[in-house]
Amino acid sequence: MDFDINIILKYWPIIFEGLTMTLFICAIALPIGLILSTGVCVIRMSQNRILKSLSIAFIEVIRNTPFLIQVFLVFYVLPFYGFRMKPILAGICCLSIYASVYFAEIIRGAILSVPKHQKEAAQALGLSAKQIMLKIIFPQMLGYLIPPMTNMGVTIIKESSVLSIITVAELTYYSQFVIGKAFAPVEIFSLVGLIYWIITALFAFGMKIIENRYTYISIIEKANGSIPDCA
Amino acid sequence: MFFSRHKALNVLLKATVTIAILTFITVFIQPAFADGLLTKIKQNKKLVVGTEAALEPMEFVKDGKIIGYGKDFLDIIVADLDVELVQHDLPFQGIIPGLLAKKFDLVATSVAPNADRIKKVAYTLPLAAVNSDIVVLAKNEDIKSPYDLNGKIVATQLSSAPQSMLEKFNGELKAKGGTGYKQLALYQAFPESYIALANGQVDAICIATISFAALNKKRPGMYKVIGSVGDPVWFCWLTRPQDIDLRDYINSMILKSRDNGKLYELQKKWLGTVQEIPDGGHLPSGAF
Amino acid sequence: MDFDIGHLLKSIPLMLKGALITFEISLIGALLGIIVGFILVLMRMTPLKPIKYLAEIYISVFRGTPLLLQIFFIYYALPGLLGIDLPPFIAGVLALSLNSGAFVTEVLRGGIGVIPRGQFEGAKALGLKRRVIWGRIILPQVFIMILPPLTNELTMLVKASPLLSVITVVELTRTAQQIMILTYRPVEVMLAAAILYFVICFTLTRLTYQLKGRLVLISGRQ
Repeated sequence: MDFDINIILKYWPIIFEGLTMTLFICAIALPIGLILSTGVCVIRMSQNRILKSLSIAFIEVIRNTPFLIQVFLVFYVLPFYGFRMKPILAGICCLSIYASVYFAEIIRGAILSVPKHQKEAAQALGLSAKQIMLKIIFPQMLGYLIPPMTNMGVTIIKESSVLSIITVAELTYYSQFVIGKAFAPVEIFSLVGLIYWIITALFAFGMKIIENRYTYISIIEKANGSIPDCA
Repeated sequence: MFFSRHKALNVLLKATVTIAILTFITVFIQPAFADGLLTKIKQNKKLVVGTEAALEPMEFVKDGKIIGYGKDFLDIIVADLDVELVQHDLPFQGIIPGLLAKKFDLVATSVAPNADRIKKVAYTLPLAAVNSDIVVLAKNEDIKSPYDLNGKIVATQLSSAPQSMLEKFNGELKAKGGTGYKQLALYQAFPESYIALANGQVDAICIATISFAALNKKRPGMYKVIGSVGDPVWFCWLTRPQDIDLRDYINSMILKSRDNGKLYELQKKWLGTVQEIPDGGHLPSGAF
Repeated sequence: MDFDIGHLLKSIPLMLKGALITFEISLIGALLGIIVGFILVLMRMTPLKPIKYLAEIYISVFRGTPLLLQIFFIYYALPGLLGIDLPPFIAGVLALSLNSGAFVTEVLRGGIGVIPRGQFEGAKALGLKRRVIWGRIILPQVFIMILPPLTNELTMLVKASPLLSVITVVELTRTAQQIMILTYRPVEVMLAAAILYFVICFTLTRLTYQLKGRLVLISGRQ
């Protein structure tokens, strides 16, 4: 089996177009997912039993079905009931919703990981709920938040390849397109695999920088004695 | 990772490692020159075949079994060779990698040739020729001929013969001063495009004539053909380039079945019409 | 095209066989994935730099490339490299395990990292052997703590299993596609598949929470 570099050179512009689309989709879906997830998390942790149950149901449905099936249902079923969307829009919506649910659970886990006595002590000291959230819980939960978020972000980026099924012209879609034309799976899969690897590596690297920065701040605060380490 | 400060170096290192690993692998996957695949098949009494059973009536699944025109012809081959048939059903994107990696001996699914493909695999003689028809919803008054497709969303299956016909036709539309299609949507399989057409996601689809016959039987009166694009396309089977002995054997069986009438019988049964199968010359120059 | 509930109900029994295959794939993949993840954690903890770097590269590749590509590679390229033939089911489960292991190792590492240093030091001060420290003190705690993320990983495997249809494993999604192609009713069939996936994932999640509850009772900790 020869590695035909000419195939890569010939079809690189098409692959690059796919790469651009993938980056575009993820650059929109990830932030929207994050914003939605805070809302989902708030509702999930609210005292209102109806809201809480609804949010739990929503989260469980999205978490317990394959993303592919969700995409399929949005793209094929909804139009029969009047909601017709362009593939890209449907794809970004599905990806954002999927991301929001998982991010919400991560945020919830991070909040709950902060030792309970912190909240109790703050309440005993008469701090308002908002102050507790912002000054006590939030800084401490960041350490529990960013690693799983990075993990999930990487998953979302790779999950975007599923959108090729509903004809969103992203990286995986064009990789299949080119393989279909040139019958060169080894060359194209190697190239596309490498591209995904680089994208996710850069993303994880960026998140690591953010994590280190916030960890540094927490260390400073600990050093100043404002939050004792109760381990 | 290694060079946490030097992002670019880090990425470069990973790229180098990947390319090194891939080169290592491709160097080691050399096709083994056995004494002919056909001999081996006869010795092992087993023919392993890869099929995408998603094109009615050529090859499709019913009640858990693969049936169709292609399957019936495959049975003729298997009977002549007196071997056991092992048939894998998988989506098209697994077919070519599977063949090239020797997961099966033969691809018994409808594949059309093109200039790039013939350099990578060996094609057999065709079993059928198909036209690529443009299909719209029966109630569609907008699109009356393929030339009305400017600014419309057209769909077909990824890597299919209609796809190349559609692309050529788009060039024709633009040459005549039109804007061309609004979008050429490529689905994983034809039925997904039928649904997309039914729910209005796309305006028209392009499928093989024989597929429309099957579609119309299932959903009578829902769709209609408004014309065809491109030239008739040959549907052939595939072997690896080095397995010319198997390919030539299948060709000889196709000619034999054609000449003794069996092939035309199958065509009448599955396709409803009889099609001429040429002696050769159906592939672009440079084919194996 | 009207929604026909009859079709939906009719297709469920047909898809149960596929669902069973999905279940098998995911469970075996998850168990093997934990083993792979554990090996990786050990590799990352050695003072030997080459082994540590090998583990880092492995994790980076498997976390950073699409699972579909990994499945293709293991099913098509690896046998040529190793000279053995991998049937689709084994190749698919292997791909899922190797992929899952790269994620499980992070979870394991996090779980071990949360154990207070004091426990390690105290156990060493008491003169306990390494095997005892790990086997009886650290790992049981870690296991309980990481059970929820592991469940998440198992659910992820169930939802990743549809990709195995490309290498001829006839699991739930592939079965659904076959029926869809035959009946031209993707809506009903896909909904049925969605329901089945939901049932599988939900059951697995609930079972694991029960398991966690039992472990908590046994070990007597919060």
